[in-house]
Amino acid sequence: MRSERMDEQMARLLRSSEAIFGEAAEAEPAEAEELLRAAGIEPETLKIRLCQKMLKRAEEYSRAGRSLPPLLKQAVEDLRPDRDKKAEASSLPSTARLAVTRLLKEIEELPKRLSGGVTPALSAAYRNKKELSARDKKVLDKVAEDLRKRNKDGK
Amino acid sequence: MGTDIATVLVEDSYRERLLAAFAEEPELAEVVTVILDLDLSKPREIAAELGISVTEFQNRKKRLRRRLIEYSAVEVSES
Repeated sequence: MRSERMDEQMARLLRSSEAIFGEAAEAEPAEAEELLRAAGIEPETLKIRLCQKMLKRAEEYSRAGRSLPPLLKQAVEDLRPDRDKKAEASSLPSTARLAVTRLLKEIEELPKRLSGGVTPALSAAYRNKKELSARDKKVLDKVAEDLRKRNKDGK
Repeated sequence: MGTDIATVLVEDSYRERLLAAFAEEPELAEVVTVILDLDLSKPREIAAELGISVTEFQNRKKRLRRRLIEYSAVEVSES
C-alpha cells in the first residue's frame, strides 16, 4: 500500500517536473550543451567518457564472440570524438580539391580561348546543319581555314 | 486513503526548493506555482492560466531549465 502511494507520488512529481522543465528531448543540442556547461560539465569531455564506456561494452561483446547490438554500434559511432572533425575533414578538402581542379582546368584552357584555339571546333559545328547550302558551307570552310591559319601564325 | 504525511513533506520540500531556486525571477516562480498548485501539465492550459502565449511559456521553460542548472551548480559547490 505504501509502495503504491510512493509510486503515485513519484509519478506526480515527475509529471510536475516535466511540465515545469520539459522532457529531456525538448532541449535542442545547442541548449543541451549550454546546460551542461552551466552545470560545469564540458560536453566534449562527457562525450569522450561516454564513448570510452561504450567501447568497453563493445569489447565485452567482442570477447564473448557476440555481435554488437545495432544501438550500441550507433552509439559508439555517434560519440566518437573525432566524428565531427572527420566529417569536416572529408568534405572540406574534397570541395576545395574540386574547386582547385576546376580553376586549374580553366587556367589551362585560358590561353587556348584567348588565342582562338577553340574556333576550329566551333566553326566545324556548322557542318551538321542541314539548312546550310553547299555554297554556304564552302564559305564557312574558307572562314574556318583562315582562322586556323591566323591562329597558327599567332595573329 | 488520504495523502500521508511523508508524501506531503516530500512534495512540500520539492515545492520549497523549486521556489527558492526561482525566488529572484517572479516570471519563473509564477510558472512553478501555477503548475504545482493547479496540477496542470498541458502547455496550452498552463499558458492560458498565466495569460501568456504557448511560445512564451516554452521560452520560460528554457529559462527554468537554465536557472535550475545554475542553482544546482551553486548548491553543489556550496555543500
